Formats: sequence, structure tokens, C-alpha cells
Amino acid sequence: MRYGATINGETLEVDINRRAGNVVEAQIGDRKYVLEARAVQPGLYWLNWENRSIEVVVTEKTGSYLVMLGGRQVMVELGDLRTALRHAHQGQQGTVQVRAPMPGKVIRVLLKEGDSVQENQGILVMEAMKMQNEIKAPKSGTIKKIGVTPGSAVNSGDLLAEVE
Amino acid sequence: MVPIFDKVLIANRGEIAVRIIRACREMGIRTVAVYSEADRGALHVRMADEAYAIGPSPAVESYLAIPKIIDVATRSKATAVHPGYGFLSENATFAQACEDAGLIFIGPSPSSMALMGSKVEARRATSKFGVPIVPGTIDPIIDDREAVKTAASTGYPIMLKASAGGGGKGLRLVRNETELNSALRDARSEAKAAFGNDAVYVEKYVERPRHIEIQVLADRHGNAVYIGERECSIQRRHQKVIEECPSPIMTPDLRSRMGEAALNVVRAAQYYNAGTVEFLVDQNRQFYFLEMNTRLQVEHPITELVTGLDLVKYQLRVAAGEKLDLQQDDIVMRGAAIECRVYAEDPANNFLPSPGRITAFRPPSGPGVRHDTGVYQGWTVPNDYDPLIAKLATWDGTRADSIGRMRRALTEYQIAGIHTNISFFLEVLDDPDFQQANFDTGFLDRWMQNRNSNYKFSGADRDIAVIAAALFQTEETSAAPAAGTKPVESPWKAQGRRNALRTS
Repeated sequence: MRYGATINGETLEVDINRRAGNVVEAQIGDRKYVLEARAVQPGLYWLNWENRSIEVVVTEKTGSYLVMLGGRQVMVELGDLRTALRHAHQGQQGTVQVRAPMPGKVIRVLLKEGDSVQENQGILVMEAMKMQNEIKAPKSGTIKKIGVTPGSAVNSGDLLAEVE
Repeated sequence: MVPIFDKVLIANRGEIAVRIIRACREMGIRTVAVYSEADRGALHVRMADEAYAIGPSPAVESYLAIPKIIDVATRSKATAVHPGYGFLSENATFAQACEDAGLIFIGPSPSSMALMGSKVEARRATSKFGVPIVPGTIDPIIDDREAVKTAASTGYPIMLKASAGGGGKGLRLVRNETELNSALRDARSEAKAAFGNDAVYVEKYVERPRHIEIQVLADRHGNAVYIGERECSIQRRHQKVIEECPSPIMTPDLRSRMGEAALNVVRAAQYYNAGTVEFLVDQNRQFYFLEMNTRLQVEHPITELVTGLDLVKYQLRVAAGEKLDLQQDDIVMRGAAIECRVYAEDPANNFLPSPGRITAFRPPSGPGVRHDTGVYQGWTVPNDYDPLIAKLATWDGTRADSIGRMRRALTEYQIAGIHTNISFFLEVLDDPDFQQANFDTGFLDRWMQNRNSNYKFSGADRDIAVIAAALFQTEETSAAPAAGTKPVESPWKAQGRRNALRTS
């Protein structure tokens, strides 16, 4: 299976294939891996890679994969290779959608449609788990759309705004 | 042996409710849990002997609803109420309502709670007992010229603080006299907007202080002891995240002086119950009384690890009217303990909260590890309450060994479905200044600004993460049922996997 994997903002070309006896062969960029992989529990894998024993925990979260390894967590996006590479190439060009990173309630909307915005400037304030959090612009540009109003309850992944 | 109480209602949720249920059960006391809609099926509900629904998820309609809780206590024939921390634990109206309903409130009297709840009153009462407070005015300043005079006598820099304040509102740092007038105006208007009261007072600004607190325990017969200190200087936006016991800068002499000062606070408040007296300690190890928390503290486990005392059991015994069986000399501190507050939040993304379903959960264990939690595999961390999901504490003979043990425990932690700040602790523990205990309350905020990575995955770890995600996706697409319900290595899945390979 060939994928485009995005991790830490970087897109990698991945080819991964299962062989008999729980053996997995993978190529990531120009690096080749042959390892043994066992699902110990749902979402918990034990890997043996060149005699290095690794436990890794995976779940799906908002369309990506949340991976935990040695106390650290990282999000991995997997997609069609060509689409992923095209997205990586375009970067933050064009219209970028700002989606709710968690469920919660919109407390304040700080900008309105047509306003210019700097990267990392707060667009709106959301409350979740008793804390108020600024949702920030992913890039500089103009607010093309605000999809919510103060008081809106939103789910993870809901469209909050668009920055052009 | 007859239990000291027949039945105790726990007016709280999450890990602290679980902690209290455990102490009660060990003492043969039956427990009553209350729960909101979001907490149906929560661990504290499952563990209690009895459980009563008290309303919708928002805390104001459940965990903060005094009449509902008193009603359940009466109906369940509980004899005492433990408030935990947060929620109603420092609400004198609730303590009074319990007493009025004939229930024993496991805490101090409503009057000492009210006294310590007011910054101005607490400063006034404790200064009479010779407890050192940060130099400044106790009463709000009426005339701005008074502020100029006080500031000149305490020396700059000073802090202007809202009398009704809290949460950083109405606070102004003033470096010199020229800044004073505009700062007064700003602090007053901010205080007015936030608290409806523009009273402010002047305090000397303590540069690069440490936050060190003394645990006290006092009974209803006038006996009191101090039970060591906790170092709580590692704070993010004024919230403690890592605590340790003992404080790395503590000496026996400083401990006994701070301990005696804490006992004077106890006397000033006529306090009984476990309590925590918070101090600022400056770079010359001068200490100043900050405030008293009239309840069990979140970070109490590290004191328990170092002293071997069970603070919750002592709270219950004191509330039952028993005399303390401890003299000051009985308190012995051994080794070093550290606690990390595990939050459902994403340290790689501005620490945004991360509620949701925990799909896999294996907390660390082994020698010297204590894990207090209110969550479990399959539990959905609700969006309605604070994001603390667990407290991980380690103990070992020395501070360095305890840090090593904490590192080990953090890397053992497995949790899926939500983000947590576990990796953030690994980063902080690796910091040389942290390891040398060279820090103050501003340490973490400065550290965050210079943080050069999000503890990013690189090299083989990054590739392994990608491979694991791809393996998971292969299984997801080849077997329809959701993860967690399907058997591991089912023949159907194996077949599906083979099919998937053929099409690739």
C-alpha cells in the first residue's frame, strides 16, 4: 500500500506491505524497514525492528492517527500519495479552513469577515473543559468566512472560519 | 471495630472522589457518590457503595448545586460530607448548609473558611500572630497619595492588587514612581470591570520567588502539627503542573520557621482539618504568607509518599472529633517525591483541551509509583470539567532517583484516544535547570518561550510512528467493526488484510 504520510508538517512517501508471519516491509523515502508486528490489543502494537522491541499505541482521531511511543504523542495523516504531495507543495496557499480542534462552545468572535489577519492572531475564543482558548489563524491573509457565532456549540472538526 | 462514620457522601468527582472512596473503604465507612449526566458510569460512581444522579452536566446544575447535594445526603442517611478540592470545598455557605442539615462537614468551620477566603481579612488576622506577609498595605488604598507613600517606604518594584481579586485580574507591576499613576488607574478600572469593586492594595513585588507550601493538620481540640512542605514553583500560567516534596532548597531551620509560621496561621484562623499554608520564598529565603487553602490539596500524595501519613484518613478522624495522635517530632520525612498532573490537553498545539473517549489505557506501575485517576479504558473524558485525568507521583530515596523514576513511569504510560501532556513532562524533566532545582515561579513561562521543539519525533521514531499508523489504517479498512470491539487477529481480518495486499 502506498501512502502520503504527513507528520510534523512534513510529507513522506510510504510504501508498506504485510508479508506472512506478521512480517511488515516498509519503505519510507529511501529508508527500508523489515519488522515483525503484532497487535497485542486493539490499537496496541508490539514491533520488533532489528531486535529493537517497541510498543506503540494508535487510534484514529478526527480523520488522522494519534500515535504514542515512549510517552510521546504525534498525529499522523495518511492519504493518497499524490494528493498529499500536492497539499504539501501548495502549503498554506489559497483558502485555508480553520476547524474546531475540540468540541466546545464559541465564547467570542474576535474578527469579522473581510478583516485582515496575521498568522497566529486569535480569530475566536472557544471554551472547553472550563478553559477559554484562542483559536488562531494558520496564516496571514483575510478572513473570508466566519462559520459560527458567540454561543454556538461546535463539534471537533466543525468549520469555524476560512482564511484566504 | 466500629467505623468512625457510618456513611460519607463525597461531593466531588474524578480522581479525588476515587481517592476519598478508597480511604473510606479502608476505614470500613460506606460511601455515597453523586454524579452529573456526563459522569454516568464514571469511575467514582462505579466504585462507591451508593450513587445518586444529581442533574445535568454543567457543574452549576450538579456538583455546585448545594440543595441537591444536601438532599442526597439526607435521603441516603449519610452522616458526613467530604467536599474534595475545587467545587464546593471552599464554600462557607455549603459548610454551613451541611451543619444546618445535621451533617458533619469534613473540613474547617464555616467561619475559619470565610476568614481565610478573604485576602484582606486573612492578611489582617495572620499579621496579628506575627506571620510574615509581603510588605505593603493591608487595607485598600483610598487616596492615591497614600499609594505613593507606601510604595516609597516598601521600595520599588511593587504590585497593585485588586482587593476582591483573583485570576490575575486587577494586577499591575509597577517598576518606579513615574509608572504609578497610570498603573493605579488601570488596575482600578480592571478590578471594577472584573469584580464590581475598584479597591486595590499595594504589595512589594517579590522578584523570582519560589512557591513553597506547608501542609498542616489540626484537630478540634487545639492540637496542630506541620507535615513538611511542597515545592510548587513549576507553574504554567499560575497553575501548578509539577510538585515535589521536600523542596530542594529546604533546610531544617527554614522548615521549622516556616512550619511555626504555618501553625500561627492555624491559630489565627482557629483552624481544624488538613490545610495548606502557601508562602512565597524570595532569593534570600525570606518567606511571606500568601494564602491558606482550607481543604485537601491536589498535590497531597507527595506528602503522603514522603511522610507515610494518610491525609484523607486524618481528615476523617479530625472531623469525627478524634484527637491527633501525632506530635511534631513524630513527623519524619524520608526520600523525595514528585508529582506530574496529567491533563487531557495537547502540548504540541497550544495546550488545547482534548476531551474524548479513551480507547486504550495502561498507566505505569512498579516500584515507587503512585497513580491516582478517575478514568479508565472506554471512558469518555467529558468536556464539562477541568482536564485533570490523573496524578502520577513517584517516590525514591533521592530527588535525582525520583526524577529518574518519573521519567521511567512517563515513558511507560500508554493512553490512546486523547492527547495528554505526558511528553511535556519528559521535556521539562530533561531540562538542566530543572534537574539542578534552579527555578522560580516564572521558570516554566520563560522556558515555554525558548522551547525549541515539541519533543518532535525524528529519525527512526518518526518512521515507526508512520508505520504504526499505516498498520492501524490497514486493519480499520479491512475489518468493518470499530476498534475495541473486534477480536485481535481474527481470521476475517487476516483475510481482509490479504485482500488489501492484493489490491495494492
